Amino acid sequence: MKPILCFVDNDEVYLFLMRKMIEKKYKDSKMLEFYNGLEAIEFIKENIHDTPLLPDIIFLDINMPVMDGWEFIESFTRIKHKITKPITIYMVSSSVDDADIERAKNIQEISDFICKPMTIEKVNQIFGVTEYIS
Amino acid sequence: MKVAKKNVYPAAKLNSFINDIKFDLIRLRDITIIYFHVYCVIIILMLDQYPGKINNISFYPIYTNTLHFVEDALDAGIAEKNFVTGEENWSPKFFDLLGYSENEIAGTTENFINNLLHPDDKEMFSNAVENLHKTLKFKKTEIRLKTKQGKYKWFENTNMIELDEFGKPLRIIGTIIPINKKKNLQLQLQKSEELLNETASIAKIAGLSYNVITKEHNWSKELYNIYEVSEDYKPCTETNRQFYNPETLAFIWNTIDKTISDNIPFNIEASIITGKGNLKWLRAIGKPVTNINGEVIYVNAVLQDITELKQKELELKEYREKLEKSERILQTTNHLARIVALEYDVPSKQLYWCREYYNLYEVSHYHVPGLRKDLIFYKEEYRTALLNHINDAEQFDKPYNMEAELVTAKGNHKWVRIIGESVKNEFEEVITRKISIQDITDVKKKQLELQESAKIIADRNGRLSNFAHIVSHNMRTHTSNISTLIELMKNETNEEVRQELLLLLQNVSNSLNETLKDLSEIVHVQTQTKNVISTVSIEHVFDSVMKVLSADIFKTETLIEVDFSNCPTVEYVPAYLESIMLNLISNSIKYKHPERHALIKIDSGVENGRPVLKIVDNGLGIDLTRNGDKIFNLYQTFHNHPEARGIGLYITKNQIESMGGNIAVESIEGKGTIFKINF
Repeated sequence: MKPILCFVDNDEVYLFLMRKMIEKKYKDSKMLEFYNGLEAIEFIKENIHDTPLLPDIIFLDINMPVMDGWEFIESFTRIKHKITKPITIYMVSSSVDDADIERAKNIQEISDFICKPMTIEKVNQIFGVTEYIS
Repeated sequence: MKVAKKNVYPAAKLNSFINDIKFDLIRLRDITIIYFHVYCVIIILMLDQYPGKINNISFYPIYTNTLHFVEDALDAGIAEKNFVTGEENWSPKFFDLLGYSENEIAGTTENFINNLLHPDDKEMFSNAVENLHKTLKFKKTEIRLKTKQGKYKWFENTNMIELDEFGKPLRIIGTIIPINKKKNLQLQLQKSEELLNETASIAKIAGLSYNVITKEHNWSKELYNIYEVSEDYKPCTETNRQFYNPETLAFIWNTIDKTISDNIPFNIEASIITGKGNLKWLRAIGKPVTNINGEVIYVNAVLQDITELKQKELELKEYREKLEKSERILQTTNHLARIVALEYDVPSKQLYWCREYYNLYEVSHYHVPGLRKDLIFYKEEYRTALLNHINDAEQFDKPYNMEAELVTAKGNHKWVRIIGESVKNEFEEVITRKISIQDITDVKKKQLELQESAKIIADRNGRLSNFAHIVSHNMRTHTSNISTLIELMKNETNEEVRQELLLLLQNVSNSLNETLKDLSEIVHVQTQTKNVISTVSIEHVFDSVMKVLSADIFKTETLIEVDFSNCPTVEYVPAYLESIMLNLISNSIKYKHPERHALIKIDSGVENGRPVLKIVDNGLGIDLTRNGDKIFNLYQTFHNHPEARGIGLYITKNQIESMGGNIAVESIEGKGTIFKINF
């Protein structure tokens, strides 16, 4: 089954680059793109019972308008019990603020904190981990 | 004094003699034989007659009516003792004088000495008798004898010894005459005199008399003591000079001359140097004494040594001066330090206060302080606490120390520190409650200013930190993209894709430039502290903002209502005010509600003496419970608006706060937003 990767970020350049990278390295994967947390959470809510449509991995930015990464996590936590599919969430940010990294570590739903730029090596590693888990 | 010698009449001859001439013979006292006739009294000296015949005649029966008469007349008692026969005769009068009837007590020398004579007089009496035996010279003595009532009375006692022809003592004769009244008077007088002297000595009062005619000075005994000269000193005008310095001497003689010439009394104080060189102060109260012609012949004066009094007076004066000086210093100190001291004296229930009290509360000097009464000056939020402190101090002697704000009678606001303490005596009883109230308005103001600046600094620090993170975050966003792009381009062979990536790189580069421009603008605001402040017309600034935004306003059909009449101008940096208004108004237009035309109301006013500007719109609004703390942060955007940069409000807040003001926001999502600026 094709893994579904979800990118939540308001940086269009970043999204474009990720698209290019995934297309090239992980042709089997399907990619979802959202400009902010609200769009992402609403997609999940809509398809909460349609498990095949839900993402396997979410790459979540912190700073976004309307609903930022943290708020998305809060909303996600509230509906998590209804989701039957295991979803791994990675916080991805340009921030090198220790406070942000610490905060991410203390949230159970977040698997790891990834500093931008997102490189192919980092993606490989994540895929390795994910495959190992599955 | 005459002493009877050896010669007496033979009894037989004497008796016939007595019978013939009907005389009674009495031997009285030491020297005389007295003959009493019915009509006359003759005193005859008994001289040497019938020497050698005396042995067989030892005693004369002398007690007759006449004797009794004499005894009564002289109020004298008589007794005699024969040394040869040991026979004794005590006259009834003798016992009568002591209150006894005849034969009631034994008439013996032994009884006299042991029972009648005062114990203290025994020695004196026996000495006198012994002396009489030796010298045959007799002295009158005063003795005390016990009466029947048990009281002692004073008597004058006179004794004589009669010798025989061989010079041997034959008999002793004694008389007593009561002198009790006289003696008592004498003793009383003596006592009064002693008392007077003692009083004069204790009170250091002395008298002097100056004889104007003879120029004689008469001093009382005490005056010698006062002047510390021996009693040999002869006071006179010349020698008296030594006691005075020239001015005092002149002063004294002026006074005396005036007293003499004008016949008026005087009352002066003067210093003297005593014979021993001590300085003394005397008060002299004197008056003239005149003769019949009204001429002053004496000047009499009473002098009192008032040295101690004077010294105390001087000390007191000095003490008072010192006290006054201390009081002045204290008052000045209190005034300078702005400390009010209040003291409640517990025993007398009196409240004392210093003058600074009036300055503190700015009340007139007619205002009477009261601990509870004065609570009215304090702001309501402090009254209860202060009252509790006062009560606790009174009931439990609990000290207190608090700060409070008050409003004076003239309406000025002051901050004070109030300290209350109880002072106990050696018995652990509270005798004084001390309260000090210090005006700490200046300190408090500085403290509040300091707190305010600390807050501003903390805010600025927070903003700087936020700024630093934002900078790194935003720069990194772009640089991350650049590095990813380059990585992709390196491996990309397809020229078309490479061109696409290159175009993208161009965009990222532009964005990076844009970000740098934003940041430099922010840095500009934060570092530009020396912008020129001038009186700015709000309306004028508003007009120039309108010019910039005219296209947008026209396009969106935005309606703007303004009213700057309540506060037409502010002291501000013109460029800041323009930037602030531009940001806020353009935000209102940018985030207008899609279903209605934007309506913006702007008005200025004055609150708490400071100008305020309010901008109210009917736009999208923001959920402040979710975003309230972030609304003014850098690069925080709340709407997916293409023009949202997340920089405007950040800069606005920076500009306002760098000028010492603040900005607040109220908003309801879907209804609109209100921004309020306190300049």
